[in-house]
Amino acid sequence: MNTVIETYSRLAGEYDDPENLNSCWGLATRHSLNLVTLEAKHKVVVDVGCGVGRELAQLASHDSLNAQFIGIEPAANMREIAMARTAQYPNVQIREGSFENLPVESKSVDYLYSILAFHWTTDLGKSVAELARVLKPTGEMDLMFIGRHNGREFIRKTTPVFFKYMTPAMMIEAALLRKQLTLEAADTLFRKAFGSRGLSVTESYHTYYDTLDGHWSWWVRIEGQLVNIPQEVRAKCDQEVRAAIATLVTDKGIPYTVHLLHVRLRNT
Amino acid sequence: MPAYPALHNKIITLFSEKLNWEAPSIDTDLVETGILDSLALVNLLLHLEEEFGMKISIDKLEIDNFRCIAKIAEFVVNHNGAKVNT
Repeated sequence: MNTVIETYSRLAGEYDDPENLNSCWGLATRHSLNLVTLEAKHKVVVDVGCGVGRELAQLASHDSLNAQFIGIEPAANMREIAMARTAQYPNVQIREGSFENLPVESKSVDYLYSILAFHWTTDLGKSVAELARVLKPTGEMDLMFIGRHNGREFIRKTTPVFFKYMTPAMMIEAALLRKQLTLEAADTLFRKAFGSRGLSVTESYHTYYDTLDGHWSWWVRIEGQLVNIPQEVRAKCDQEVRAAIATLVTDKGIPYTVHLLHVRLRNT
Repeated sequence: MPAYPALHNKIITLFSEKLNWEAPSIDTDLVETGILDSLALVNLLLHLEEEFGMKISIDKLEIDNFRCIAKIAEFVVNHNGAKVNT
């Protein structure tokens, strides 16, 4: 079992907590949702990595266009919540799947979007090929995901701590769980699969300020990457990580900068 | 610590061209300064293998071998011996 999916599934019940919704990731999700553009021509709409279905339900509730919505999510407990949340919308289906294996017919999707999920793919090439397979030739897409330079402030402070408690092999294993691309690498990857017509890949940086406890509320989600730290030293490691993050404090709070990549495909 | 000026320069170039980082000195602590995070370590190992024809087994790595450019140079020499032009 993928430890990331396992962790997300285990924490599914906390996903709608105010601490999470108001965290930097909640704010980055809301920013990303604003980049999702539904139009009358979008009859089949797919959300890959729909999580607990919050954004999917929001779009379905405002949709007066009779689109069919398909939410795809690999974490079982997340899917359960998404199903319950969208049960009132007969035009929404939640399916088990992932970027690497999209449970959708070829050339059937008018519009596909994904919010802060693509960086968790285990296979970039396969995932991009799947996206190209399911989209209609006229299909459109918005993928928002984190890039290589995400969370630089935290990484600078916490890496020395992690290297005290994790071997380089463990750190490498953890790093390989996510695919954080540079703008250039993402551009090359998507142009290879989709060509240049109607495609743009852009990046942006968003700095969010929060308290130490506010940041810690989402930090638990990286547990999947730290699962190999021996239990007996885990508490000490957590304590040192908290202390390291606390040194970042400013008048506005503790900053965390999200490096957001946006792959936009339009049928121009 | 033996000095390997040519090798140091090669590694400085590798950091600059492949990892987009300019080295202030060969003794700068890459971990403490946050330059060498886990993703950078993955990239560094890939580029060291490519540049110096090394086969690096990650199971036996120790972070102290990658603390600074001087240490990385020693690691390359110890793992590649005569093949490296120091």
